[in-house]
Amino acid sequence: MALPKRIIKETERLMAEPVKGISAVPHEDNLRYFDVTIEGPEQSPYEGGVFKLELFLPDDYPMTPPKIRFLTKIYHPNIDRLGRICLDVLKGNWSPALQIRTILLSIQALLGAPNPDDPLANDVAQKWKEDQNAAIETARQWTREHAKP
Amino acid sequence: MESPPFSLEPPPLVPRRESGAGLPDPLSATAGEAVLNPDSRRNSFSVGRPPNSPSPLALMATGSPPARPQRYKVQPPDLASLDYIDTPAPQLICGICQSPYVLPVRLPCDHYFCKDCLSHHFATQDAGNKSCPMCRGKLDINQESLEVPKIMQDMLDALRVRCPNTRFGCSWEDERGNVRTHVMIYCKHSLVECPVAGCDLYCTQTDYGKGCLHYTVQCEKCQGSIYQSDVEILFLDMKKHMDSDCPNTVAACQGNIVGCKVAEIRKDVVAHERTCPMALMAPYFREQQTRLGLAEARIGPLERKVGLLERGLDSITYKLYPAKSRRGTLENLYSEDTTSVPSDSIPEFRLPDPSFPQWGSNDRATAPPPFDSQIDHLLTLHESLREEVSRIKMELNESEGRTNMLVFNENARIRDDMLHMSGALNNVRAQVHWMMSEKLRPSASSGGSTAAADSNKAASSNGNTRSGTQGASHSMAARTAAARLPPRRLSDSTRQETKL
Ligand SMILES: [Zn+2]
Ligand SMILES: [Zn+2]
Ligand SMILES: [Zn+2]
Ligand SMILES: [Zn+2]
Ligand SMILES: [Zn+2]
Ligand SMILES: [Zn+2]
Repeated sequence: MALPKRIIKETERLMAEPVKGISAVPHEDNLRYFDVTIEGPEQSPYEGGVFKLELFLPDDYPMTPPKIRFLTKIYHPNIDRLGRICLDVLKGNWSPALQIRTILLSIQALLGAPNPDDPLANDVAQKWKEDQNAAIETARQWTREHAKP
Repeated sequence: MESPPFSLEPPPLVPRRESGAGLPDPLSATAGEAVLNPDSRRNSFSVGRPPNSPSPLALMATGSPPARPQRYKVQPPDLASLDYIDTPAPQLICGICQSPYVLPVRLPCDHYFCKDCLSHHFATQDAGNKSCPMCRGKLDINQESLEVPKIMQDMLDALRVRCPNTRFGCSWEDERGNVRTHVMIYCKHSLVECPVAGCDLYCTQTDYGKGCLHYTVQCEKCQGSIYQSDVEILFLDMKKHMDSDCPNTVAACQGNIVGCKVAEIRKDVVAHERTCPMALMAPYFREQQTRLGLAEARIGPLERKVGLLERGLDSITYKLYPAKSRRGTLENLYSEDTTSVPSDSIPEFRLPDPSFPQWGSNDRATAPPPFDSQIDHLLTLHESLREEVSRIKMELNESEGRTNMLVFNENARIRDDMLHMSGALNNVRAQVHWMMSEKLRPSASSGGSTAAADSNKAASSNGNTRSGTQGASHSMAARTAAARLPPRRLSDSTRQETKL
């Protein structure tokens, strides 16, 4: 099946003008499958960590959002233990005008601003609400342990 | 007709173009285990055999005409997948397909999208809940689409594109507005509709006469050695499979360009190539070969150029030899015939400088030119030729000036001589005149008649038997008398002049 022009263009642009702190490299044998790394944003519990993600563009992309999940363990109220992300633009708020680049930036922003009121990982969100400082400390510790650069 | 080495048994009817066969959706929150399955690439191109279509062999055997009329039905160009030569302005880029708009549509929020892109987008949204992909503004689906400014359509039509059949060999490039006309009417590489009724696929014009080729076949050679699903390939791709993929087709070792003789079935050859030093060297040698080919292709024009230069030099030399011989000695100056000039008087024309490399075919082998590249060499050659020519030109000018001086001097001397001579001549004439007039004065009264009588007598006596010397002296006397006559008899002198 031929790769749509848009995916080729996006990939070329991701390679030519990489976003700071984000990289996305397509697999050689499947250009719809990307290895993604995101650096934890500064001033956040994830600072200093490098998180691996996988990203897959479904057949009807860009009409449907890309499928993306964390491979690196991360302590975050909007990311469950399987790495799935609760982000509105990845679900109902998806728009075909969004791109891989913008989605990855949104995920990076989500790391900088966790939202325990719209949780995916209920236990984490619970802890986050009860004792935010302890939760942040746990997130730091997980980052040190699992998200080594 | 040789039968192809694969079975033509029609595979069981499968739905045409099975669309992304139910990819697992592991990330949906309902999925128990999240496992991304990236391996959707084997979303095979397997296409079922068209219903009721005879096999190509049957078509060829019976010569039955294709079900479609012979007129080609050309696939219209897909404007959305065109290849643009320049980067289009971002204002002309659709937010959905990231390419310049095709049939742009304007939304009330003043956002533009391709017509197709937008309808695809709307198809994923619930009715009555349509929104703009850019600003998410709510849209009324029943509202008529707004008019797109003509200047936008004009700018889109003016974008320069390549022919969509570039990969088939078309080199056409022009404005996007003309691409449809080109593909539908003029392009020789357009895909045409499959000639068999019931098949909706397209084939190249050269395959048109072969009937429908759009069904899967099985490679007999690798059957059983790998999974069935991998062996089924589209008839059209069979050759490619045999040439580059099939593990059971006989192939030669990569190193065969350097002499490796191994040729086995591809599986074994691949294993052999890992150890074959010649196969390891093959890419290097191939590169060298292409470079050699390039260099040889460049030598041709250079040789022609050198030939031209040599011929030019020869003609210059040829022109210069006679000119050179004129220089110098006076006898050369007077002799019109240059070939009579003794050859040792020609100064030897030194054609090349001492450093000037000879371009004889023998010399080239023994003494390679001391230059880095042929072009450098040619340039120096050209430069030295130019110097040579300008030097020759200067010498020519110089020798011309010298020759002029010589001629002038010689002329002056000769003129002096002539003046001298004419002076002397005048002197002599004056003396002769004086002597004559002295001698004639005594017989001035009767001289005329005596002279006439004398001349008569001499004329008559010429016929007589006198001695030759006496006759000669007599006639001499008569002539002097005749010459003496004119100054004295004016009528005679005028008569003589008219006679002359
Ligand atoms: Zn579009
Ligand atoms: Zn809008
Ligand atoms: Zn063309
Ligand atoms: Zn067909
Ligand atoms: Zn095969
Ligand atoms: Zn070999």
